[in-house]
Amino acid sequence: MILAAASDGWLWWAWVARHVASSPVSLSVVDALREHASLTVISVVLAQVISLPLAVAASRWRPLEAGLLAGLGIVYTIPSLALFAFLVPFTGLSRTSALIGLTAYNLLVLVRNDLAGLAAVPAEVKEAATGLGLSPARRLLRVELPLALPAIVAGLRVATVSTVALVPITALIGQGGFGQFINSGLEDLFKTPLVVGISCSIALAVLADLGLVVVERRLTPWSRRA
Amino acid sequence: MRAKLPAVLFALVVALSACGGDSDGPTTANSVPTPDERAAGGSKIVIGSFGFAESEVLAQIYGAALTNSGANVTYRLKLGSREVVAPALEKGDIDLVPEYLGNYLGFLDKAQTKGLTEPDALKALETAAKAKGITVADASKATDSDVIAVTKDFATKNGLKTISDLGKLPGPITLAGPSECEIRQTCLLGLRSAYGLDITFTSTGADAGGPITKKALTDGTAQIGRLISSDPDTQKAGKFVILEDDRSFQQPGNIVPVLRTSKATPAILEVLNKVSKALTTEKLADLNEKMDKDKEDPAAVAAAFVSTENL
Amino acid sequence: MVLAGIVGETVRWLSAAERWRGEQGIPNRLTEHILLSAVVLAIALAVALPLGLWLGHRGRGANVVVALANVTRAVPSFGLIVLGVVTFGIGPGPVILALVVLAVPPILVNTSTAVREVDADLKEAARGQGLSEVQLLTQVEVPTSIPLILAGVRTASVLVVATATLAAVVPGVGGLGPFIVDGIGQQDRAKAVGGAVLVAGLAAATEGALAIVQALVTPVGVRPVARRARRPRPDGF
Repeated sequence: MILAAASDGWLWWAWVARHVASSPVSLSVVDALREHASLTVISVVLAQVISLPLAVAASRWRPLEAGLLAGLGIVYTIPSLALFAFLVPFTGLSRTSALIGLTAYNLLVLVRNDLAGLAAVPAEVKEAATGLGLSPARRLLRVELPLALPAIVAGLRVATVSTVALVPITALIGQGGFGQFINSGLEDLFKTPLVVGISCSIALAVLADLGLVVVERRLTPWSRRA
Repeated sequence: MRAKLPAVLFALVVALSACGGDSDGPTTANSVPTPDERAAGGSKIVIGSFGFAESEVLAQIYGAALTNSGANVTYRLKLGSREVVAPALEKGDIDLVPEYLGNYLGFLDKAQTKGLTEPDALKALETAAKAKGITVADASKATDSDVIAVTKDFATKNGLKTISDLGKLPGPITLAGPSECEIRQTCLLGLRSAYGLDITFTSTGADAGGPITKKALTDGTAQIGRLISSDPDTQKAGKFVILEDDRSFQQPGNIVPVLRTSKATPAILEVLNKVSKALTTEKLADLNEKMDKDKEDPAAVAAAFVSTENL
Repeated sequence: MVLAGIVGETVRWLSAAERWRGEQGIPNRLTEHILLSAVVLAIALAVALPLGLWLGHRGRGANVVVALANVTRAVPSFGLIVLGVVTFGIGPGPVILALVVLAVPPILVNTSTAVREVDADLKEAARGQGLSEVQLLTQVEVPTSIPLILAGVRTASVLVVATATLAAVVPGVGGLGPFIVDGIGQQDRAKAVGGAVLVAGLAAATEGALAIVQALVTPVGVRPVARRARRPRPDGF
C-alpha cells in the first residue's frame, strides 16, 4: 500500500512526521518551504524589476527589441546546471549563485510577455491618452501598463511555476529547498523524501499559480465586466 | 481601495521570503548562547562534516558531548568531500571535523603514498596539520577505511581475494566511486599506479560508498566499487567482499577529530578523547546500520549513542 | 582579475591533450550525450507526433493538452530523474524514461495546437475539392503546421540536451554532465566551467541547427506563418 509503515514504502508517514518541524541538523519541510519560497519569490521579483524597464525601452526602440530577445534567448539556452557552474567560481556554493541563475532564467519569459502586453495596447488608446494631455510617463503608468497587465501577469505565472520547478537543481550547489528532499531520496535511494520533495514542489507551484490568478483578478476589475 | 489588499499580501510574502533560508551550506543553525558554564567553558565551536551519514553522526556525537560539557556548538553538516571541508577548516569557516587519519594525511601531504602504521601515520599527520594551524586529538580505535569491494558472486566467480587478483581479469575494469575518487591517490590514481590496473571510472557523484555505489555493483554497472569498511554490508560477511589491499596503498582509517589550534583547549581535547575512546568499529557499524537500514536520522542516532555511553 | 584567471584555467583544461583521448575524454562524452539525447527524442517523437496529429485533426482534447502543458511546467526535472532511478534502478534506461516524459509535452502541445488551428476555411476548401481525411491531413494540415511543430521539437530538443546534464547524478550514464558534477565535487573549477562551456555549446548548437532545419523545411507558401510564429508569444511555448 502507498501509505506504508515501512521504510521502503512510497510514503512512510512516521518519517514525514519526524521531518516537518524546523531543525538545524535534519531535513525539515518547514525549512525547505521557506528556502524554496524565498528563492522563488526573490528571483521572480528581481527579474520582473529588471525586465519591465527593459521591455518598455525595447517597445519604444525596435533595434533594442531584437538584440534583447536574442541575448536573453542565448542565456535561456544555457542548461541550468551549466549556468550555476559558471557562477560558482565567482559567487561560491551559495544562495547568491542560486539567485543569480534563477533570476537570469526568468528574464526571457518576462521580457517577452511584457513586450507582448505593451504591443497589444491599441494605438487609438495611446493617441487618445496623448490627446487628453497625458505626458509619456503618465501615459505609460496610467494607460499602457494597466492594459498590459494580463500579459505581464501571464509572464509572471509562467516564470513563477518554472522557477519553483528549477529550484531543486540548486541542491547540487548546496541550496535546494525541496530539492534537498529529492537529493536525500537520491543519495539514500529512499522513496519517502523523494515523494515529499516532488509533491511539495509541485504543490507550491500550483498554489503560487493560483495566487497569481487571484492577484490578477483583483488588479484588473475591468476585464471581468460582461 | 480594492487594489491595496493584494499589494499588502504581496509585500508580506516578499518580506517573509527575504528573511528565509540561510546562505552557505545546507544546514546551518542559529547559535543560541547557552547559559551553562561548565568544563568547556561556554566556548563557541562550529563542527563540520563530510557529505555522508557516518560523518554526520560522528560530528553530532562529538558535538553533543561538547554541548553536555558546556560548549556552545553549532553545525555545518554535509559540506561535501575533503576538497571542500579541509579548506573550510583552514579558513575558519568551521572549527572541528571528525577526520579519518590516513585520508587526511594523504590530503595534506601528497608525498605519503605508502601505507604507514597507525602511530607513524598519526605522528606524520600531527606534523603536517601543525603547519596549517590545526591540532590533532587522539585517534580512536574505531576505523573506517576506503575499501575496494566487489559483490560476493563476482568474488566467488573470479576467485578474488586481493586487489592484485583483479589483474587476472581481462579488459578494463569499471570502478564506481564518488567524484573525488577520480583525483585521489587512495582511490583511482593509486589503483592505477600501485597496482597497474586498467580501470575505467564511473562517478557516483556525492555518493561515498553508499546505496548508489552498492546498487551500481549489484546492477552490474561497475565491477568494483569504493565502499567503506564500517559499512554493515561489508563488515558482517554480507553482500560485498572487501578485496585486501596487499600493496598497502591505503592508510589506516582511524577516526580522529581535528580542530583549529585556537580552539584546542585542554578541556575540549579531554571531551574529544573521551568520545574517541568510546568508539569502536563494531559500534560504528551498528550506527551505520541504524541509519542505512532503519533510515534513522543521524541526529537521533547520535543522541542515543551519547546517552548510552554517558558522554 | 578573477574572470581572467578562470577563463585561462578553463581554456587550459579544454586544450589539454588528455582531454581529447579515452573514455573520460571530450569526444567520447560528447558522443554519449548526443546519443542519449537522440534516443530520447526519437522515442518522444514516436509517441507525441502521431498522438498530436490525431488530436489536432479531430479537434479533440484541447483542454487536456493545455492542462498538460501547464502541469509539466511545474514538475521538477531533477525529481523526475531521481524518481526514475529509485523506481527502476541505475543505468541509462530509467534516465531515458524520465527524459522522454519531459520531452513529450512540448511536442504534443505544439503539434496538436498547430493542426487544430489550421484555418477552417482552408480545410473546408480542401474537403470541397474532394480530398479524403488522410489527404487533408498530409497535404494541407501538416504542411501548414510545420513551423509550429518544429518549434515544439526545437524546445523539446534543447530541453533534453539540457536535462541530460542532470543525469550525471546517475553512474553509468555518462555524457557531459559528470564534468560539471565531478568538477564541483573535486573543487576543480576548470573542469566544472569547462564542462559547462561544452554543454552550453551543445545546447546552442542544437537550437541553431534546428532553427536552420525549420527555415529550410517550411514550405514556401507557409513562410509568412513562420514569421508570425517567431514573434513573442505570451505563454511558455
